[in-house]
Amino acid sequence: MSEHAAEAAPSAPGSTPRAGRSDGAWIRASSVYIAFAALVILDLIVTPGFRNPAVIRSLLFDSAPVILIALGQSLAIGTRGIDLSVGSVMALSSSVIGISLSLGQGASITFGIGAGLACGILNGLLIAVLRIDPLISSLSLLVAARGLAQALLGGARMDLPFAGPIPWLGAATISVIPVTALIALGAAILFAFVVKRTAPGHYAIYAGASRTAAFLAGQPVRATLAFVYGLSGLLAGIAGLFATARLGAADPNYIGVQFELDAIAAAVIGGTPLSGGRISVVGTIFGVLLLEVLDASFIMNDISSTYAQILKAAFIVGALYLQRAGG
Amino acid sequence: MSAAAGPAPVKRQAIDRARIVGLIQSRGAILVLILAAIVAGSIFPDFLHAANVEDIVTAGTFLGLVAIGQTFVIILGGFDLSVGSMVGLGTVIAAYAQPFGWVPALLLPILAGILVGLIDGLLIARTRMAPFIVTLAALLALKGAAIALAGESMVVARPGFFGQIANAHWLGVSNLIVILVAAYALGALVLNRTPFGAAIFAIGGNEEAARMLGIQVERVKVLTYCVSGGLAGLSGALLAARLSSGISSAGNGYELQSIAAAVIGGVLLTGGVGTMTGALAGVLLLGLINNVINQIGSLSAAYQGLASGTFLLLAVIIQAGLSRTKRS
Repeated sequence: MSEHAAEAAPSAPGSTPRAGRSDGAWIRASSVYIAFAALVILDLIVTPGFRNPAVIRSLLFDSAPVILIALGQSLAIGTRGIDLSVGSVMALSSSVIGISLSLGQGASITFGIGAGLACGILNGLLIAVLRIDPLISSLSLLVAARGLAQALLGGARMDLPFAGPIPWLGAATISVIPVTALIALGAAILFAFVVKRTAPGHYAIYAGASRTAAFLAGQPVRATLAFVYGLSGLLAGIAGLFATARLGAADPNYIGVQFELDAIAAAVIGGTPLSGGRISVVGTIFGVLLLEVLDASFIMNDISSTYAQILKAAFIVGALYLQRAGG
Repeated sequence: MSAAAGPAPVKRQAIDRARIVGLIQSRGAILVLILAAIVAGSIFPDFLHAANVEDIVTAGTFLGLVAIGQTFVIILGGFDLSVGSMVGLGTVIAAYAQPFGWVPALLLPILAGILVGLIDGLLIARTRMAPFIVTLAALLALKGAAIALAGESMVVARPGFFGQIANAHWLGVSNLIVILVAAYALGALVLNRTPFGAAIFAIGGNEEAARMLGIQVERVKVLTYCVSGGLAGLSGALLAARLSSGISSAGNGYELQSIAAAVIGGVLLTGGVGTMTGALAGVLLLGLINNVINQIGSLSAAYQGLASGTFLLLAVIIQAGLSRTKRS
């Protein structure tokens, strides 16, 4: 890792790749789009029923929460960190929505998202103030938040009512596009604006490129880290709401399990290197879509989805290998 | 001379403080374990009965074996997230191998684990990919393989002697406890008394310095991941013998629980620091929490995750504080 600090420092965001490396950089930057296009074309030829609008709708419903947590993840990775807690935070948000339903659905939505934000802020404080490694603090929260989510509902699944804003979120579409996917897209645009055009976003990427340089330049590194992980928690809270609405139940044992893996995979496959200092928002979104289409292709061809997992694992290693070879 | 004499006591004080902090770090978990056992024993009269204590330790054997390997890997400065899936795959392989006798049923899972560790270790040491990503990919792949081989579960045919290994007693003590104690003693021996163990500490403390000292960093890394994989395989084989079945989801979550046990036991996730007794205390503490929650009839099993998560979070925070005290 040490050689990366030296390497990442000069390639600040926005700078052009150095000459002689452009080939590797091009492959790295566009591999996710090529893979996505190839998979979709293959599906259009091979998979029966793939053109069906219902398939696209279901794909987008599944993608919406993953896109949200993958965005937060990509920013955390951009600072050279990681957020392993996102899946469990989704479950916590779901449980909080479940137990606060009696206060009305609007209030329970607020509390659910608020629980996600609170988790994110706690994570951010552990990292920024106590200087605990993000991998370690978010791992602890992965265990603790899932435990809290299960304890809140006594380990049981709780069905939601059939009417109101939450069930509406779980079913509403505009032509074939789910409302949740549109909200996720809006969030992504806002997120891209924050990352590319505002000071906290710039600080986050600089902190990832070289923590020491950012600190010496007088940038508020700690506040930035707290902001980044707080944002990731907030997005995970909303993702928990979307997953709960889609499922029609608050389920602390099911919601968000291993979603952190998909979020990390999507960010890495999408071209955000684990060594930090760079972030690809569009790449991350296509990384999520790639993984979701991959799952769907296996299911629709009646191949056990366990093989999709194996292939996903190969994709992650392949993407990382490309990063190593190219950068 | 007088100028030189001045700072000396201050320095000694700092060293004393560092030593005390180090003791809390490495032995704190044992203290907490003893205190927790006393408290639990005084509240629940059944808790300290021999049968209940044996239950806690035998149930902890499977996680305990995995935690040995995890501790090695964490001291090395890495992570092994593949161990949980490897336990599941190990049970399935044992179930497939049992018809050919107890020897392959016991050895093939271990060999499979070593092979997985070899691949993980080579990818991590040679291509310098982040350990947690490589082993995460292995987690997915191994779980997929276990489900592909066995579906949800399969029965171990005519377990016979293979079943005895995990269910019988030796001199009045459950075989599993004998195996657990022997494994930890062996682990402590390897870690503290062999060049391999010294190399693990050196690499975890400072990899570049270890390289300059002439330590074969890559070889030690690969070997350490092999140890972790092999122990996970052994844990799977014993679990299959205990339950008379291969279950693809067995060992789910062991990757996190073993890390939690090691961290609670004072193994620093930054590498280079840790003890076997601490890790064992961590494993037993997690087992004790589960046992106590089961004794309180009104608390459901849903609280186990919350309790171990809270312990893990507290351990991480306390250690961050202790490390800073030590440095300042």
